[in-house]
Parts: sequence; structure tokens; C-alpha cells
Amino acid sequence: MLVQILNLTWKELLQLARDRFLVLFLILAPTLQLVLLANNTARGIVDLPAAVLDLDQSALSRDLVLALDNSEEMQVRFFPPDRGHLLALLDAGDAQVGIVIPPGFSRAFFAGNDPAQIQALVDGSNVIVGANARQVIESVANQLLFRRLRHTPLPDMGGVEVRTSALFNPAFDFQWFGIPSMVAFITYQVALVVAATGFVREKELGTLEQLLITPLRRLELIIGKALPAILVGLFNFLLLLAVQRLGFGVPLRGDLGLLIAVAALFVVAIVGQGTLISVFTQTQQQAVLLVFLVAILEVTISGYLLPVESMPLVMRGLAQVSALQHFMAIMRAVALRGADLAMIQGHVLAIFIFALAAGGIAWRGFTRAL
Amino acid sequence: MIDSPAPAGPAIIVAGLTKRFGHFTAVDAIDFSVQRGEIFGFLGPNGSGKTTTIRMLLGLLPPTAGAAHVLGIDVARRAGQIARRVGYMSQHFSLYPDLTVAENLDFYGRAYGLRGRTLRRRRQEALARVGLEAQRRQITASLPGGWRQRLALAAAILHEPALIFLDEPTAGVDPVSRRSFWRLLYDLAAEQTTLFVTTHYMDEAEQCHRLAFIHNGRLIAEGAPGQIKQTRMAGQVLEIRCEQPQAAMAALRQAGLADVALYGRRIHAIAPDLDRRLPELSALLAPAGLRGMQIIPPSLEDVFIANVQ
Repeated sequence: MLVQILNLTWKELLQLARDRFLVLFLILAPTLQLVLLANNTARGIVDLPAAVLDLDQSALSRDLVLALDNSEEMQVRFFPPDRGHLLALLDAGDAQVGIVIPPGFSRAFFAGNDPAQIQALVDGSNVIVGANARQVIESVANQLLFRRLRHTPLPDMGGVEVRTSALFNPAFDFQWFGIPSMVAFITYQVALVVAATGFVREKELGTLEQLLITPLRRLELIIGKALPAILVGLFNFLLLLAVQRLGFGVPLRGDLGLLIAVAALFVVAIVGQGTLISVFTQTQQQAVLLVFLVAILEVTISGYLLPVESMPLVMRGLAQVSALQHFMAIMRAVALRGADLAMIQGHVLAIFIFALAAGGIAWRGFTRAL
Repeated sequence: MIDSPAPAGPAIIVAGLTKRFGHFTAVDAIDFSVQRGEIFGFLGPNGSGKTTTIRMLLGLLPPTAGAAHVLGIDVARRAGQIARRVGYMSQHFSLYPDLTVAENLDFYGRAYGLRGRTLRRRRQEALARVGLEAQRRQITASLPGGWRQRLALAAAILHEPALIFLDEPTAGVDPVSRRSFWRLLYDLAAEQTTLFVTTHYMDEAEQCHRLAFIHNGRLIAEGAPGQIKQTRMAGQVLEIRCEQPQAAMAALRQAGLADVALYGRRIHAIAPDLDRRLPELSALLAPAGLRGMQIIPPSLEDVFIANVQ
């Protein structure tokens, strides 16, 4: 019996070694996975864009702003003239945290007794970033202020208290943050796998050759194959969106039509990516393995597991070319922040470019390889 | 759909057709022509260049050199126009197993530009011709092998092409189904459809009007089956029956007869002037229990093997 088992095992290993693609995959995929995940684990947030409204204008408040800007976690990019402008910056997603230092902050601090208050407005549509930001501000402020106090100690110090309001998601509900991302990710997976197995299935069946000698044009063929995948992906998205709204009670504050239009563009981009996989593989097994690899990559760089804001710089660069990352951002912005087209146009443009690139490469590969 | 200009003359004319892949020459300057309404058999061992030739004639592969005209269309310059005018049945069954018989035909019919009533009529005609009317709602995957071949033929003739390429259409099909499949091909040929067929079955090759042999990319024989058997055989075929075929074959080889092969329990030896060496051979084979021997007309298989070796 053992001989037979080993005989079979040997045969399997021989077959495995002969499939160059699979060998490459088995070496490359786990390595890549580990490198990506290892490089992307919990560094905390870095250079979070902040807007500061300093109504105190004291030496102490200016020191505080400087200290925040000097911290690794935060970068003070904006000094809006008033509260309205501050909120606008947060709405657009340009700033992810807004800090308001109230008048009399310095006086309250040196008076002692009660803690001096500052207000932090964080973007509640991204819970992880929001929670992190609050901690950062508090620790930076207290460190700085106690360092100053070593020179002039006062009795009954109250320290600094950060009052946080989470915009867009007042209850700081993790589901509000997590579910739109999940919807985006599931839509991504479905569209990718349907498109990726499309042509390769015809290759395996031998029907592709038959199709190529019919009068069907190549463009008709590629669009005819892509369209069903696009419809399936879009239908899936609508279904999930309904569950998100009705099942989980996540609000939809932006325009539904806008969200569907952008989702359609996103699905087209992903079907382009899937078609690319389909054109360059020979079997459905290869295609599915590649989808698996690409999906892992996307999970890592899209901010699905860890917010983009906490990624090392290289990974943040990679995230910029991830259509999924942009779509997740759009989902959160439109659903929770009620963003309009102007506020998400950068993300939409990125997805559009991605769609063009993936479609273009797939088309070239298709006309060359077949 | 535009009708073909129906130019007179042969259905296929091939002159010096060559295909190279890097340093490998798959098809090496072949010449032949196929007349209209003819069943033309294209034979050769696996890897000899048959499928490459068909792919060039279909306009799927550009030739490296030489010329080919299919129904008067230049393969090199107007490759895209060939597809709609010819039918093609590939080596592998190439319909969708998860669609029904009728759905498969409808899909291919529409791909060839058939619509509405015309499509329905052609589909009915094709189903009637191949005898699958009763199976039209059946899922294709559930059809037995022989029926699938007939369905593939139905798909290839939907748009009434004047020329059909059939690449090993009966591979792996039982003899009864093969016979009935060939009857369908005769009917088509009788209606002036030209059939270009590759096969490994010599009984099928015998049924073709004309044959061409290709080996290592070169055409080594062309003509009617009878003509090829007469002219392409350098020698006579001696059929030998004996008790111990293995011993007899060894003895024959020692006597300098290189071309010796076993067919069931009979031996075929091929060499020139065997009729004059009969007494000598009967003495030689006596220890192996010779039962009898006679000169027989060569079969196509003999010719094929003699020419390929």
C-alpha cells in the first residue's frame, strides 16, 4: 500500500514540477504574501493630514501646533480661517483630522484645576484612523506641556483634555466603517473571478478556436465576453448595497445615482483586470490561482485590513494604483460623508485610468496571443 | 450575408505554402489543389504539419512563404473573409457542453450572421440532416460521442458553406458511428460541397476521392487512393501466415528484409521482386511453422507506413 501511495505521490510531484506556472506560483505567492503582510503590519498612522484652527494664538498654542506637526503621526497642512473652512476640508477628505484650540486655552492651562480643553474633529468614516488620531493628539499635547512645566511647576495641574467628535459617524460604529469596504471588496472579487475565467474556459473547451474562425470580430468577442461579467459584478454590488443600507443600517448620505455610476466604472476596471488574467493564462486553474494572488495583494494595499494612512510610504504608493483602494474610499465618502462628485473626482479619475490601462493591455494581449 | 463570388476553378489551390516557427519548419513548400465537390483526404502522422496547414487555409495563421487560395480568396491578404465562407470542425469537440443542442446551433448560427426565420429554418435542416431532431432540447454534455460529432457537423454546415474543413472528425468514435458520419459526408459531397478531411483511419482514407500524404512538413504523395497504392509502393507486399510469427520475423530480418510488420497474426513483408523469392522464403520460414503465403495488393496502411519510415 505504501508503495502505491508513494508511487502516486511521486507522479503528482512530477506533474507539479512540470507545470512551470504552478511552480512559480507556489514560490512567488507565499513569498510575496509574507513580504507584503510583514511590511504592512501595525506601524501606526504616519503623516496624517491635519487642519488646525488656533483661536487662542498664544505662545503655548503655537508650540502645541508645532509639536503636532513635528510628530511622526501628524502633518499640519492647513490653517483654515474659521470653523466652516475646517469642516469643508474634512468633508472633502483633504484633512482627516481637525484640531480646534479654543480661545483662553493657554490661560485655562496655567490656571490649573480643570484640564484645558482642545477639540479634535476626526473623520469617523474611517474608525481606525479616527481612534488613532485622538490618542496621538492627547499624548503629543501632554508630553509637550509637561515638558514646558518642568521649568515653571504649578500646583493642581489638570493637563490637557482632548474632546473628540467623530464626524459622519457619531457613534464611532466600526460597522459603518467596515461594511462599505467589505461591499467594495466582495464586488471586486466576484467581478474579477467571473472575468478571469471567461476566455480561459473557452480555451480549455477548444471553443475559442471555433469562435475565432466565425465572422465574429475580436472586439465583438472581447466585449461580448466582458459584458456578462460586468453585469454580474454590478448586480452583485446593488444587492450588497441594499444589504448595507437595509440590513446593517449604514446611512447613504450621498447620491445613489452617483454611487452606482462610479460602481459601474469600477466594475468595468476590474473586469478589464480579470480579462487580462484570462488572456495570459492557459487553464482555469491557473486563472483562479492568479485571482487568489491578486486578491491577497489588493487586500493588503487597498486599506481593507489596515488603513492606508498607517502604511509605510512604499505601500502607500502601491495603494495609489489599486482601483479597489480608490473605490473603498469612494464608498465611505459617498455613504458616510455624503460626498459629491467634486469631492471624489481624484479617486474616480484613478479608477478610470486603471480601467483604460487594464482594458488596453488585455486587448493587446488578446490580439497578439490569439 | 454576402454570397461568395463563386469563381470557377478549384476550391483550394496551394503553391509552395510554407510555415516556419523560429528554426522549425512545420510546413515545407507544399503544393496541391482540391476540386469542387471533392472529398479530399489529408493524411500524415501526428506532428507532420496537418493542423498547421489547416490553420493557414482558415486564415488563422499567416504563411511564412508561398500562396494559398481558398474559394478564390488569397489567404495571406484577405484572411478575414475566409471564415464566413467555410465551415470548420476542429480536432476537439468544440461546442458548449452546458448548452442544449438547439442553443449551441443558435449561437453559432447567429455568429455567422443568421437571424430569425432563416436561422430557424437552417437549424431545422441541419438537425434533420444529422438526425438529431429529437435531441434538440438535450444538454450537449449528455450526448454520446458519435452524436456529438454529428452535432459539430451540424454547426459547421449551418451557414451552408461551399467548403468544410474537418480535422480528425471521427477520432475516438465507434465504427458504426463513423460509418454513419461518413454517409453524411457523401451526401454533402454529392451536393457539390467540398470536404477537406484529415484522418488517421485508413478505411476512411480509402473513401476519399483524392488524398495527399504529408510527412515532416513535406508532401510525399498525392492522388486517388488506387493511384497512390500503385505508384507509391516501392515493392510488393507478401502476406505470411505461420505458427511462430516472432521467429518468422526474426528470420526474415536476418535474410535482409527490413520492412517487416505484424498485422494481427499475419506478417506483412515489403520488398521488391518478392514473387521471385518465394521458394527461398518458404524454405527459410519452414522452421517457424509456415502455413501459407501470398503476394497481396498493398493497403493504404502499407503505403502509408512504407512512405513514412
